[in-house]
Amino acid sequence: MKKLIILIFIYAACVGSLNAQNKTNPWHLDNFMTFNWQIATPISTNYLKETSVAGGNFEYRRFIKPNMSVGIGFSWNSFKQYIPPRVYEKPDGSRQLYTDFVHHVYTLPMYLNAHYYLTGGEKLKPYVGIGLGAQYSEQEAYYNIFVSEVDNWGFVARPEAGLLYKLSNYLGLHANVGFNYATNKNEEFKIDNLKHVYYGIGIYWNSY
Amino acid sequence: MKPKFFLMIALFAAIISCRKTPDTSELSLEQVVATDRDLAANFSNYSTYFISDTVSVVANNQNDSILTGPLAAQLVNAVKTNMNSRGYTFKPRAQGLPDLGLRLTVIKDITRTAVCGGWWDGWWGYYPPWYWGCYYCGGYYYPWCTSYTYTIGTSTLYLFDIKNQGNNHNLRALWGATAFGVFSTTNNQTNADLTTTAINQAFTQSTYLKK
Repeated sequence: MKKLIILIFIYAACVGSLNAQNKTNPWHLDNFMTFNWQIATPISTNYLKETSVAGGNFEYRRFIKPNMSVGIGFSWNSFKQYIPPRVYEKPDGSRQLYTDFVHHVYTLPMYLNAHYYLTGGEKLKPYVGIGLGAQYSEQEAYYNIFVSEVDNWGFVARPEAGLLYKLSNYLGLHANVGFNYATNKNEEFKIDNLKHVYYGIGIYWNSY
Repeated sequence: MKPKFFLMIALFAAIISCRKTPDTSELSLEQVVATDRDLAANFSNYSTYFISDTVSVVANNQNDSILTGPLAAQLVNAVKTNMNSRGYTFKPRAQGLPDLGLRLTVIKDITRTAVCGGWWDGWWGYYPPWYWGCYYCGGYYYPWCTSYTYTIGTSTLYLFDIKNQGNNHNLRALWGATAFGVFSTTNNQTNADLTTTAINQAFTQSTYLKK
């Protein structure tokens, strides 16, 4: 986790400094929306670990300064993993259970965001930011033809770094990488929190 | 700007709310097997056992109360094979009381249900109407319903302490296995095979059950 945050800031600082020589600022960002396809990898949970390509993200950002924006956003990710058959045993040895599972987690973070934009260049503009809000999640365990399901809410924090590539004054490409930490807890499935790293690629639309 | 913005949000909200149930085709149809034991029981203190050659049945048809014949023999023999391999000896009823008694019961529960859907159900285009057998719905905008039947099979196998039964013949259960999962509605041989596999698994995961 610490490595990821350090990497994000190093990346942002490097890209920003590479383009810092460019004194002109051809960017006119005002009302700004991003639509991303999002790949996500859950971390530090035994419930599931497989990377998911079923995800998306939408954000609206309003520039309050030339290099700073605030806004709202929400994402969704659907994680799934097949757990082969095995025996689960109570610690005291009194009970055993044999089955296979399909574990599924659906996350829907909704948050307020703030972003700081580095100077960048004529076409490229890196940024760092954070989103804070709430995350709705559903956790399900499918077995045979049955399902056990729990849904809950948690606090979510999403530090991220990203890059804008301008195609025109209104449209461009957008990529980001970030970390989604949420406090959703599920005692039944022994989930203390939900964390994943996400990688997004998509488009942005700027209106001014 | 504002109408477009709210339209975008509404569109995105619609997309994320139409999430699809995950694919569970990888799941095995083998029965889920749960076993419980009495932690105070010392299974090596017992030598002989008895199990009836019939199997109790609980089903929607009230005339089906006992399973006999080859299917019952298949299930009972599976229990006997496992008990013998654990060092216990079958003791016929005519030879007196055994140390342990086993009782096998199969519950077959037929359930009928209906599923109704429409354009709002799932991703558009992902579940075409004909997926559920609706060939003439004519599009995605008509609500449609279909019914289907599924059968849940539950088997219980309990091991009772005959050797130490009290004066009032109270029997203590030392070990129990419960297997459950989908059953074939029509093919009882398939159900017997599923139950046989479950019985074998119950013994496999109960390594403590031995003479």
